Amino acid sequence: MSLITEQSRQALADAFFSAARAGLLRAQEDALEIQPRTAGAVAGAADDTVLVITTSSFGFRLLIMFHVDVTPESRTYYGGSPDAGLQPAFAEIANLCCGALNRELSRDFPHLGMSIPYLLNAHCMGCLDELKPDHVAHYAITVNGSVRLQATLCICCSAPVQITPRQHAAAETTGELELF
Amino acid sequence: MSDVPTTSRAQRLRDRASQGRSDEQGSGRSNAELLRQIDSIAAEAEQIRQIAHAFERWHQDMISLMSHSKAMHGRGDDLGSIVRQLIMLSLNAAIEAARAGDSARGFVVVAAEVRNLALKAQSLSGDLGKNLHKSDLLTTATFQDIQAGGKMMMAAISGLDSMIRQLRSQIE
Repeated sequence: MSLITEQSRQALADAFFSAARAGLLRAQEDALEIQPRTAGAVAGAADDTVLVITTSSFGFRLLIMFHVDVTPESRTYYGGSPDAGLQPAFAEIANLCCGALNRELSRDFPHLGMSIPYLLNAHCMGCLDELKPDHVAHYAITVNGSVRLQATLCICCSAPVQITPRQHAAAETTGELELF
Repeated sequence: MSDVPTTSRAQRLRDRASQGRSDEQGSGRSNAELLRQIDSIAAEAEQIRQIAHAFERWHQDMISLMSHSKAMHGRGDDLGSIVRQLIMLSLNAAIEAARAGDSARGFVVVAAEVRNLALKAQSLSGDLGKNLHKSDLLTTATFQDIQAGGKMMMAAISGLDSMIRQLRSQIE
């Protein structure tokens, strides 16, 4: 029997959508699209990376993994120019997003901690089963129609995890956020 | 007006005053005892806070582990490159042996065996690479869990500190 219910999985997804809006956009008026995917980021080049941050509580650990398609658009959006380095700038952005997710989850789990970001080779995504996760969700994210990211939520539970659905999630994520 | 005799009333007032002084002394003593206990809890919390040093040590260990893993990835890539060259060499050897005709029949067999060994080495090299990625993920996930758990504990200790301060100010 899974330690995280279907309702809690949906609540986690809602919390992440809200956190993505709070953390992944440079400006509030920017458009954010999030689409569930069946698989995670796939390494294109040998040195393709994913950025990992872990949020932990007593009963679970949640790995949040981001992969950004390195293009002039993503460099400009997160780094400030088409030639800018993407990794340091995006690490801050991912930190903000995960901090927002932490705040969302802290309503149900007062004791939460968050790791610092770490870069891994994207091939590691193929080994997620090794962590024996209770739930894995992949999302394709597009900002302003041109900046493409992929995010993966991987939660490993050591006790039943109950996440309360956000009553106002729908109202708060209207506007430019489109969920498919 | 009460009909209680004046002498009895005065006696009761004296008794109450005496009891009040005794309560104040008792209360003072119990407050002092409470403050001592609070100081003791605060000292314990401060001791637990020292766990930050352990987290720093684990962080350094994690950096060493990941640095070691990076070096292993480099070795694995080198090995993969050598194996690929070996496969090409064995293939060329097989072609040359075939060209040489009957006189190199034995060498054809040797070249084929070398090629088989090279292909097995290629498979092992691929497995090594996958296992290194697996190891990286497990190491990072474990370390980040420890790190996040550490921050969770530090936040809990800060919350405890805040409660101790509030309790102390209420008693004082």
